[in-house]
Amino acid sequence: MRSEFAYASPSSLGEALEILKDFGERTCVIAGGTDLMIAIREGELRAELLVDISRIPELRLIREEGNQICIGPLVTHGELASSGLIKKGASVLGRAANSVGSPQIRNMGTIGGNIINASPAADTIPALVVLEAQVTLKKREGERSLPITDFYLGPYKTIIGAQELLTKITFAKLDDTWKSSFIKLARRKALAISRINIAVLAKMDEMRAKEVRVSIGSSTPTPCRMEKAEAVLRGAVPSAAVIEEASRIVAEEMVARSGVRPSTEYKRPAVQGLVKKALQEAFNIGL
Amino acid sequence: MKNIKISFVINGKKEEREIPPNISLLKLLRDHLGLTGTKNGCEAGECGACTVLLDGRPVYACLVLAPKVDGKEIITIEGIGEEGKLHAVQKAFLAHGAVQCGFCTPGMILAAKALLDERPNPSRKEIEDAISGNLCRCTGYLQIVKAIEASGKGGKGEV
Repeated sequence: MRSEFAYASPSSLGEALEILKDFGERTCVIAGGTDLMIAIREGELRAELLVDISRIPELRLIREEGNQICIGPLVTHGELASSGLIKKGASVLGRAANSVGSPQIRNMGTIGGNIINASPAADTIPALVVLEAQVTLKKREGERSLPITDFYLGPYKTIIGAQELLTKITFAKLDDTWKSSFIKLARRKALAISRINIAVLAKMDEMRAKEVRVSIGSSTPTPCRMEKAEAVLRGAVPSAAVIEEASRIVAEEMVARSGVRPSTEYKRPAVQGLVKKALQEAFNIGL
Repeated sequence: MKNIKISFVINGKKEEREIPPNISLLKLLRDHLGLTGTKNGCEAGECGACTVLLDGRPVYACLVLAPKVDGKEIITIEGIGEEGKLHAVQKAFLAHGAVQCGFCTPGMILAAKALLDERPNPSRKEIEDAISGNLCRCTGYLQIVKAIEASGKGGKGEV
C-alpha cells in the first residue's frame, strides 16, 4: 500500500513556511523525491501533508556572495557537478555530487535532500564537512545558521524542527592554493551506495601543507573531521611517510568512533588504503 | 485522499489529468495514459528501465512524484521517431544488435537521446557515463555503446 497524503506545492518561501507553521509535525517536505519515493511506495511515509518545495525559485540558485558560495537546497547533484562556480571554488563538492547514483538520479536528487535525509552514506556530506559549510534553517519566526557537523544527531537524524526548512548552504570559496580530492568506494561505479567516501582539502604554502581537512563518510555515526590525522599533516611537507602515518590514524579514529564491529577487520585497512590514496591525490605525490 | 489536477505536455501533446497525489510518473504514464513503452523494472531507481525525458533531461519515472510534472514536458519512447519512421538512435540499435530481450531498450534509447541532444558526437567515455544508470542483462553493453556511437557520428544511425 502506497502512503496516502494531501499535497501542497507552495510557490514562495513565505507560503511554504506558513504551511510548515500551521501543520508542523504532520508534514513532510519533498524536494527531488529520489529517496522519498521509495518510502511512499513502501507505505512508510507517515505524513498527512506532503509539501513539495520544488516550485520555489529562490531555493534553486547557486550564487556568489562576496567570498562565499551560497547554494539553494533545490540545486541538483547534476547542476552542482556542472557548475563553473563550484568547479572553480569548491571542486571537491562537484566531484562528490557527480558520484551520486546515476545521471537520472543526479537530475532529480538535490543537495538539500542529501543533507536532510541524513544517510551516513550521503556523498555530498563529507565534502560539505571539509568545506566547513553552514546550513541555514528558516521558520516563520526567524532563522538560524549552524555548522553542518552540528546538524546531525545520528544516522537519519538531524536537529531540524518540524516548522523549519533548510534554505541555504554556504561556505567560503577556495582559491587555488587549496588542493582537494574525493574518493568513493562502492560495489559498482554507478547506482551504488557508498561503502566509504573520503573528502580531503589541503591549503598549500609552497611545499608545506598549511591546513588539511579530512572527512570520511559511511564509516562514522555522524559526519565529522579526522582531527588527529589533520594535526599530523598540518605544517608538514607531504611525504609518503607522513601520508602513511595520517592514513593509519584516520583508520584508528574511524574505529574509535564507530566501535569494533564484524566489518572492522576489512574496513580498517580499506579506510587506511583509501585515505592514503585520497591524500596522495590531494598532494599530487606518489601516484 | 484528494485528487489533484495537473497539466503537462506529453510527447508534444498537451494533456490534463486528475490524479491521486501519491502516484509516480511511471504509473501516470503506464496506467493513466496507456503509454506502456516505458517499462516498470525495479520501481526503486536502480535499473533505468523507466527512464524518460523530463524537460529534456533523463530521469527515472518511478522516482518522480507525478504532481511534479505539472507544467512540464515529458518525452517517452512513444514520442521519438514518427509513425513508420524510426529515430536515428532506434535504427542504430537495430543495426548493431543492441536489442535482445528489449526490456532496457526504451530507457537506454532515451538516455542516449538526451546525451546526443547535448553532445552530437560523444566520446566513448561520455556514452558510458550517460548510460551508467541503465542496466542491461543481455547484451553486455558493447553493442549498445557502438549503436550510440554510430548514431552520433553519422547522425543517421548507419552501420
